[in-house]
Amino acid sequence: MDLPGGGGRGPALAGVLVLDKPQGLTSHDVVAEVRRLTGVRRVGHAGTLDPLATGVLLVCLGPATRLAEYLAEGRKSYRATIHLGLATDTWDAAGRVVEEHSWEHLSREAVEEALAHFRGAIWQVPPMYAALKRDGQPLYRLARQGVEVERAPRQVHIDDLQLLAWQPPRVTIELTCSKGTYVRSLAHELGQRLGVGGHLAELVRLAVGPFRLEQAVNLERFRALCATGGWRAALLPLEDAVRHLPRLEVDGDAARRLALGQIVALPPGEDDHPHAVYDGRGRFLGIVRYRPDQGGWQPEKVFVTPEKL
Amino acid sequence: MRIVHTLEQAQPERDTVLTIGSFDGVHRGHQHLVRQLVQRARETGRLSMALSFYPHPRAVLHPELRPAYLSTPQERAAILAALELDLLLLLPFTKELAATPAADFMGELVRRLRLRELWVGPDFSLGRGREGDVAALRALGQELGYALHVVEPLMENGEVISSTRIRHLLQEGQVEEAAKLLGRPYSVMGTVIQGAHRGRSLGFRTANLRPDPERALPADGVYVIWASTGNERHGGVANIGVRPSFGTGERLLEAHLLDYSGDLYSQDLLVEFVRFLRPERRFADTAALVEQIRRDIAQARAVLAEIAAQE
Repeated sequence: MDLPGGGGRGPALAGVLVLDKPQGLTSHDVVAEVRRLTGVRRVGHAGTLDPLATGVLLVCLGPATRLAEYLAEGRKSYRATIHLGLATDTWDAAGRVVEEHSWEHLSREAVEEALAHFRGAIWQVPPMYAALKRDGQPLYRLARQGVEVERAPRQVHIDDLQLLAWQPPRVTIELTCSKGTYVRSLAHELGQRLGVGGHLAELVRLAVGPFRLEQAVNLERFRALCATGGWRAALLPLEDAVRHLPRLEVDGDAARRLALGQIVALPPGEDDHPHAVYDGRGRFLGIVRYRPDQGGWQPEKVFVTPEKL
Repeated sequence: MRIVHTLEQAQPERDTVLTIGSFDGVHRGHQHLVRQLVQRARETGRLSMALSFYPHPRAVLHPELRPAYLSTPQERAAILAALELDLLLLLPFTKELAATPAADFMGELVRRLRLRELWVGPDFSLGRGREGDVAALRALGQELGYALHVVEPLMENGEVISSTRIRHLLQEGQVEEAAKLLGRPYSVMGTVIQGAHRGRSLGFRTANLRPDPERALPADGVYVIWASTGNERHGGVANIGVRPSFGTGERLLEAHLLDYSGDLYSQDLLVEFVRFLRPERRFADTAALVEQIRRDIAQARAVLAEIAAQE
């Protein structure tokens, strides 16, 4: 497999697109469209974005698809508008209103105070698509006739949670959170805490890892770039996808061993955390992880062949 | 697209071009109408708006009929958003609303929504006893100050595209025909539940789904499918049928994903129906069943490869 520019021949077809997803499309719709527009067969995305949300969707092309999982690990930032006083069965605006409460007594201070409880490490219940009700009973309860479909709360980390605007009954916030955080759940839980119910009305993803909305290309613009053949200029190089990972530099001998898929014994790093590995000339070689039980660094994704070293 | 749930919340900042309907499935006919409406709103500097209902009016007026939705509220909203509609007003449909005289309802819309144009199909009607048909709505418009615009329905094979027609096609297992009218494959989502591990014992891992009982399901049988988790999409084969062991008579969907070995338990899976392969049937012994599943999988691969080649 060739690195962009590495072999010095042919167009570079590996890289990452930072797209601003329009409303209404699923993340998969965007991937399918990029595949169709560019003719690149291997296309994938890192970190699903709900159809009704807009903002940063990272789309990986060619060999970069193998790096999608590390991109999806990245912290994410969102701007969210939560509508208080109306609870819906799906926890977002598309659902059916299941509870309505007056919200006129809520003050900005009360909302601020409630938001404070969501900062730091918190437990969150993922939303369930099947939280739809039938005869007043949630479907998942019906689904329990012999089987249990229960979602376990999981720990997520939220920081930089700021109240941007309080226009009762709507509150707009910005937050940065760990992988696996559901802003829909946060909206639901904020409504619960304030005792009035609430749902997620609008969601914009501002960043995934180091990739920000300001640098994103909107899909309309990308279509135009494809029509004129200039889309490759919008592609970020493969290495940009791993720039947020800790670096490990190796000499030529270790590089060859890694290229062959062998473990290399070098001083330990942070256990079980992916590192981007480079050779002495600053060339990106792949992803490795330190395995204490193996006493060395194990290659996880390799982007060079031994002959190319 | 903004989504609101009451007339009070809509507060349009401009005059509006409105359409009203259940938009279940948002099929090509719906899309045809909404596209023209959005275009018109842009040309006139107005706001494009759809007024829709949840639950479906039929579910409220005929609770004895089992609902068979072609879309979840989210899917419906997502497709309308993709058509670049400005505002979606999702009103709960109630018996009171059904009993409201058409003139009162339209008067309320004009007051709250700055209504200037109403766009509907020729068979549209609203209000008590469906009294507000096209002729009545046109007359009301002259009084209340909006123009009624009737959009000719979109045809496919000489017949009007409608949600009812799509439900019938699904009942007959004609998922390819249904996809032509929808403009995309018909899909349902479900959470993967613990199955009987029947598939695994035969050498084929399967994911068991209990789709929302309010959703329309294609006829019992075996289908070529696309199955998507959060970020991966796989080809596969799926069987729809009643599992007597569950005792409730509810239909289940059992999917085998091609080239996939992960554990899907408790994940949400989106299943898109690509082609009907064969009806469900009983087999004399396990060997015959395994042989048939092998053939199904080979056929599914061929169908999916053929589709990929067309793209």
